[in-house]
Amino acid sequence: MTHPVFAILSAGGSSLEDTIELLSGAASTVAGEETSATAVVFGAAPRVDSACRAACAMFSRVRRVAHPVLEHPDAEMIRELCRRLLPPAAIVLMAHDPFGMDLGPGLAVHLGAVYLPDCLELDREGTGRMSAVRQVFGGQVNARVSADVTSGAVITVRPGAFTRPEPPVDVSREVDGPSVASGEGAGEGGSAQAGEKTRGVVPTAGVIEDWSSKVFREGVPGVGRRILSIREAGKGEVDITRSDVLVACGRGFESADDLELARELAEVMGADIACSRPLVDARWMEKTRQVGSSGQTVSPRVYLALGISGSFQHLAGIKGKPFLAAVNINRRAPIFQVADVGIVGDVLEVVPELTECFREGKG
Amino acid sequence: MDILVCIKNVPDTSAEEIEIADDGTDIVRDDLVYTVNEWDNYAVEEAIRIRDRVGGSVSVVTVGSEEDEEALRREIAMGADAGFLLSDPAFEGSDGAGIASILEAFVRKHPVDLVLTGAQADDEAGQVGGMLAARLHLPFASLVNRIDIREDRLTVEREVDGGNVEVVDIALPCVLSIQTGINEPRYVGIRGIRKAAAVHIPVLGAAELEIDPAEVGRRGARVLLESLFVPAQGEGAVMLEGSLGQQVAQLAAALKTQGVIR
Repeated sequence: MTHPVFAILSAGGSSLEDTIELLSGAASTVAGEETSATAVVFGAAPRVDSACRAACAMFSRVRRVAHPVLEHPDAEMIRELCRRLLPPAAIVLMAHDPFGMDLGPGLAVHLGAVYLPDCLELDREGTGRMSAVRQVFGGQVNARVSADVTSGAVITVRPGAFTRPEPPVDVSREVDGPSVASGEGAGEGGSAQAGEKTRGVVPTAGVIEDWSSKVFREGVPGVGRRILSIREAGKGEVDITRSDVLVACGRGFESADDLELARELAEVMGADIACSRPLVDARWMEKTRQVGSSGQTVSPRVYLALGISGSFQHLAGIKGKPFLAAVNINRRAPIFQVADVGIVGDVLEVVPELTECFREGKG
Repeated sequence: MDILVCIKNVPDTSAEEIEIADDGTDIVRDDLVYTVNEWDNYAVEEAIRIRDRVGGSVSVVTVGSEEDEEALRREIAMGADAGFLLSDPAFEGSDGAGIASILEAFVRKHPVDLVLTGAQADDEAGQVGGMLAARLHLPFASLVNRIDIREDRLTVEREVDGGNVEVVDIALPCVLSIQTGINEPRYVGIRGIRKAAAVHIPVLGAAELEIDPAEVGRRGARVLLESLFVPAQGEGAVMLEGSLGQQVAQLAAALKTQGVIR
């Protein structure tokens, strides 16, 4: 049987465009050729409408679920709404982000579906089975898992793991012709809108259908949780998002005092100091210096990662492909999978040597 | 407030080069040191702090084997009041859903006001807390980095993207998954560990928990591990070689080429 594929989007998401691209890429992988995925966008007007339009660029069918209670889209509420609208045995995709991690596991239980978290790769394996590649053990090892998806699957997808597929219909090529409605490859959604005026060469394909009244017919679901507010991150003394060269420190530093070694190196390099999450957890560094999905997103020219293993949450905070040098005691640390140059060694030995090397070079 | 913390004993792989076992479906575990999953340790510390503030009890539970008892004792040494080991040959090979259903059976027999889990463990799935909440029909919040008690409700803070925080009101009883950094877990001294060695830890199997063995373990698992493999290095990664001095000189040269040091 063919499983209907749905992508769950929250209009309040911080990187909505990226998530739309991610999920459309994943959806085209799991949907195959015989079916196309439906995006379901949850939110409150007017934000939900711009989110729906963005989703239309990459999904042929977009379902809009709007209600004032979704102003801050709460995963507990959205899980109940998903139970009302998703058909049996659906393949349900969402990003492996704080929203998806909140929504996914419980949704899988309620739908009787398997849960495949944080997937890097997805493959269909014949009837009723799917395989996925995931990271385990701190990213040192990948696991290939296979799952029985006959009762459906809830899949959270690693941000950045899938890129934009070919758009379902390239309307920009077809606006001149009157016979676009029967255009090859146009899904039902694509053809319905193909005659609409298009701006520039933006490939739009999707049709938005409002499901709000259908989903809320039984009223607002009663859930035991409510979002009170979103508190924005504070600003620090140094704005590392503007730094050209970053010396970033991780767990390889065994005490707060050892960080002095990194500060000396940063000074001679003319770099700013950043860090990974464990040093913030240990209260050795300010949160504002943390690079990663739960910290700052930086785009330096040069990034020197010292004693940082390179979890995906950390790497998600590094944009713009800097020259990445890494020092780590563990040859298998995932940072070496993305580094340009690496030293396997103890930062407490390497860092003072490097500082000295630069000082000599200067003098 | 009676609090249950679900913990997992995991190999400490941060400083170890993991090797994959011959059959390709597990890592070589012989030389690895086991420890309480880092996230879980923060959860236990938080539970202890809440108990010390408002009264009640802290229990720790794990699904595993005899060797995992040590992890429960460590958390008792930290300050938990009781530990429970859920162990049965029928539980072996459980997937995340299986673990959640075993824990559900336990919670139904030992109801509490608050269940905490770590946000994730060594399989990096972050699934058990959310599944357990859904099975128990309790509200859930993931990635919690602050808990404030307001009579029969909690105000918790969730860590979301970009260092932003979602402030959430949640009813008790509920299930929360705890993010690292919520507190600073206390040091566990040798005296505490010695004291905890004498504590009786009940072992509960499928019969005691009234679990159908066909629903859990390998037989019940719908997600199967096919193989483990070492991911490829990045295309451009040049691993420097030679003495420490030589490697550092090469690294300095590479950084200078990139325009570091003006």
